[in-house]
Amino acid sequence: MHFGRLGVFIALAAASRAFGQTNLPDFGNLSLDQLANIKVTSFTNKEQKLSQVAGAVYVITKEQIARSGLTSVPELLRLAPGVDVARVNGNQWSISIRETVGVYSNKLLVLIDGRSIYSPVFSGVYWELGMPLLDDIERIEVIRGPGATIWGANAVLGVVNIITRNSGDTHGTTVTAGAGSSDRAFGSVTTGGSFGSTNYRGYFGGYDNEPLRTASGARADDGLSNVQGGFRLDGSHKRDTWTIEGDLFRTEENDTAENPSLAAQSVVYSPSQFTSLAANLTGEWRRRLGETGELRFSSYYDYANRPEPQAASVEARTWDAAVQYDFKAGHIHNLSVGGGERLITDKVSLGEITFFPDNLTYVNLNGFAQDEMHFVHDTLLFTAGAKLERNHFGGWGPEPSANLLWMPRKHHSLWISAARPLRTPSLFEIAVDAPFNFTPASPATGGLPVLGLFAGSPTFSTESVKDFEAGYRAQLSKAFSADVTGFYDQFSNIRSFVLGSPVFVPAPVPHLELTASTANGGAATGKGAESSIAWQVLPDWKLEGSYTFMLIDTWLTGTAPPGSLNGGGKEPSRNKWRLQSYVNLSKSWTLDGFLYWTSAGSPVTNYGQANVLIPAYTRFDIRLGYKVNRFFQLSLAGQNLLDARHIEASSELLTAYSYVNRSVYLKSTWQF
Amino acid sequence: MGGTAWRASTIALAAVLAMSLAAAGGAGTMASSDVETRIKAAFIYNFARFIEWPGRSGAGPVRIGILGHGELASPLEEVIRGKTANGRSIEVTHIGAATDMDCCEILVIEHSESKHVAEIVQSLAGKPVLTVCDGGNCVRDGVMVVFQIVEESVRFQINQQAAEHAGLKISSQLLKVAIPAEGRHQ
Repeated sequence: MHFGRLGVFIALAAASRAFGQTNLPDFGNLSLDQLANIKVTSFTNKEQKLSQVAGAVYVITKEQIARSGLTSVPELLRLAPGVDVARVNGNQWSISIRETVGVYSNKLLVLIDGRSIYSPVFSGVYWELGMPLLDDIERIEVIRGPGATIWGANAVLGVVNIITRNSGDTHGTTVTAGAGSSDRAFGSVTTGGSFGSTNYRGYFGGYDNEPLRTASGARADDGLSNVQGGFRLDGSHKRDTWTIEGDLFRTEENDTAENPSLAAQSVVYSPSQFTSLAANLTGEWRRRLGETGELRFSSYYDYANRPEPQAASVEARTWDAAVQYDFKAGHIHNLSVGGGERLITDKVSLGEITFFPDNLTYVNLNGFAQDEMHFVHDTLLFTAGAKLERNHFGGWGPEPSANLLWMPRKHHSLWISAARPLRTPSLFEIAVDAPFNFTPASPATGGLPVLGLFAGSPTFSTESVKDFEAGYRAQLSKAFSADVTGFYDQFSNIRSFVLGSPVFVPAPVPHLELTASTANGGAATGKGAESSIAWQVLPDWKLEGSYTFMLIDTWLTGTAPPGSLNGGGKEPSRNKWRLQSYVNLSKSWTLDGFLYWTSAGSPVTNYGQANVLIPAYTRFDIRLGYKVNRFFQLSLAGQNLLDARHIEASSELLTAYSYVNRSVYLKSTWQF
Repeated sequence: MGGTAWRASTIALAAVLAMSLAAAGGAGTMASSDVETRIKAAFIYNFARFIEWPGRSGAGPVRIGILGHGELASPLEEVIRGKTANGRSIEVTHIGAATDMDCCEILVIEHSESKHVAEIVQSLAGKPVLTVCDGGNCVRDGVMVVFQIVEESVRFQINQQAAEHAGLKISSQLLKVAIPAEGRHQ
């Protein structure tokens, strides 16, 4: 589905931000073959096409990825406006869009070439696991707001769509190698070509990261290293095009486990080490039907085993199949219909945390239809659609959306939208049983220590959001574009916890157990605004900036039973600035800078220990690129240059947080 | 960590940017440099080179007529500047409603005329004019060349039957680049 219409628009969109546009070649001098092979996506004016998307969309381009100097997919999301990115420790990130921040943020769907990496076990994304090589990414589309009508459940308030490069665009061999203070060592080999009309690419790569820091500056126990390999095949024949791709990952993770211990009468922090594995295989086949129709069939298998310090393995196997048909009916209607199934097997090996059931296989089903109607010479677009989805835990649920877009003038568009996306329960919220905190004996506890338990509940059900948005996007001159979006969200049935009565347990030492079970007793509102600009100041100097503001208020509804808990309340407003500067110093030298400021974080609900208030921080990165010749490039990058270290996020369940420290690295790229 | 100073400078920078936004908005020139239309214009120039018109192989320019309003005119004027086709100069003329449409070797039907394509094609039946249209729906109206985006590239379909009927000879080099014909009959 990522290759769908929106995808194309967004692809077109990405282009205007590429460099050197002012010096387009004289196409009249090109051969017929050359003309026919120019990818419009790599040139075409973004705003013109993006102007047809009634939503808040941002595209992180290949060029931005290379020039940002950032070294991982989660860090790259800092480049997009409206995304809350915070690094919790060496292998965990808290990434969210328009929702409460946290490692267990659950309203953002993440896809790699249409394959969901949103974990069905815990409702969220393991950002350190299963990411493509940055050099192989064509673009990252970041959609703020609901995407459930097209992408389904859990695309509640955001979608991150990572699109890898077509193997037809990556012929030849690329070798990269680098070393630095935090990115201790990294490298990759990619080679591609074609046989007949089929293009191929194969790659192998890896990295070894230094741990982050503790408050005192010592090395934390959170090193991360990874090896991965994979391939992509792209072919076409007459009306058909197809893609097959797959990857394997082996990631060694170090973590500091937080375990409440009766024996030690406290929460015990202990270093732990585990190996995560991931594998996937994706196939997609597309056929043009008639002049305007396209039929698409896609299927994937995804395996992820990302243990926790408290569970030796947490496996999720997903087999997904989907079909979609896009066609035009008359001059007005652009229709998309489709459906799919997803077969999921979750399996958890029990340790200090237990699951009941610990092994479950289930099927989710969905069907959808959407109509994009064009009126008044394509200057007025109305789109309405709905997805009907059956989730094993939540039952059937509709996910409707509608939007209206008006282009009063060329390069100007105004839009409004409304949608009702759903967030479906994960196995964790249904089945987990985990000790998460410890209160020492005191008169208040009746002279007994208290062990807090976190428990899933079989009755936990789907959360829903009513989302309303409006936006304005304009290309004000050849060199300057800007957009602004406002949103208002009403959250219903969101996760709360019900505290049970204390239970006396005599062994191993006499103590009380207090269980907090999941329930749907919460409600919230979220509102805010996001704006961004892109300005080609000079032919060789480009600036991009954004500002986002958000308020969120969470409370318990009247139907929540007494003794309910729900983290949040009225959070302080969240403000974020970002500014990127790209300068071409000469044909071979580039100098790029990145400034990122975020206001103090709200106290994250940290179930295991006291809440930590995250102070505001400013991040400044710089990258110097040097193209030695047409085969060889060097880059030197410095990150978090303003302070020795800072904290970005608190931890949540089971693991500890670390401080992010200043770093530098040198990277070389050899292409032939 | 110097956070306050940096916060202040960030805000200052943002204020500067906001002011520039206002300034740029005032200047607001609307020049369109859409690459897609420039590629199409370059193809049209190539049609002049790779097609033979009956009885007109002698002197005189290759005339490209533009009917209606759309985005192709200005990139087309740009791309033919200083160029020739097989030794002949090339001219771009705008065609008013009253002008005879068969004044030209190539007739480009712009977006504003998309509703009248069938009538235009009918009025040119059998005349040696290559009709070119931008967009999917004119294929069934009998236009000879129709641009389409295929695999993110600009490509075109050729209605060879209609072209031959009008006496035009299309070079095999052009046919090779065209979208294969099979999709046309659906």
